[in-house]
Amino acid sequence: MSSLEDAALRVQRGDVSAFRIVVEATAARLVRLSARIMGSVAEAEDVVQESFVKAYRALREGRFDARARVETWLHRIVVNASLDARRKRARTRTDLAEVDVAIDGAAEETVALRELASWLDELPDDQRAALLLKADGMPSAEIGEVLGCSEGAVEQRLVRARAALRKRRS
Amino acid sequence: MRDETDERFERLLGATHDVAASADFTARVMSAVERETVAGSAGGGTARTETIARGIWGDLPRAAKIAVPVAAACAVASVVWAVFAFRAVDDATLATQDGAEQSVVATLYGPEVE
Repeated sequence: MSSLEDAALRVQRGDVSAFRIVVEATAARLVRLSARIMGSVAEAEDVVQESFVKAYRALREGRFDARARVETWLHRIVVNASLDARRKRARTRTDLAEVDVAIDGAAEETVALRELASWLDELPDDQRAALLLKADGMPSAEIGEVLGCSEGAVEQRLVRARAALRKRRS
Repeated sequence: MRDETDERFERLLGATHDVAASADFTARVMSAVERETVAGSAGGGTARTETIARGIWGDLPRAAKIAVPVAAACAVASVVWAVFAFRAVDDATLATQDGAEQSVVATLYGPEVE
């Protein structure tokens, strides 16, 4: 059993402090993924924090049945929460410029995040998520677990996403 | 075959590779989690029930969140309609039975003489 799975088991048995191991092991990757979807680190932190609280609640209430790896399960929660938050932002028409007012000394990174998010803006949610998970080095089979579809469907989404981006360029 | 799209994508991934959460992020998450634990234990059964309900509600897809209240309203309306319909049928049956009884009495004993 991996240290993450072991920590999750301890949380299920009531050890709150074990959740710190889960957070420390996964936060960096999850915040980066969410920031690439949202186009903003500040918003990504809020989304990932809320996702961790949700995951903690699920562990304590026995709603994590360990069919998936803990990290895959957390990715699923964060991807769904990020896409939901993005849709909510689109509905309220909040401009990205209003969100990240200041990111200490990382102006280039902020600009790149916004460019990436707006470039992928016209892709359907499932294609955008598949593309960013793949870019993060996740195997297609695991992306399928995150998105709730088959490996074949993931490959199809990746092909469509790339084709859509190429078509838009031309 | 690599083209401009691949290059742009790789450039943006590279530029965002070092995106990181703020230094106090883990502490923030842990204090939110601890608040959750305190709220859960202080509220006892009610808080736990609310947490479970919130969890179930949170896990529902967005379409279902709209459909559930509509379905609940339809269910209530159906029950009200069923109660009224049952009463109407009941009244009609009683009226028919009364009429039939009077006909039988009139046939057997003739019309009532005052």
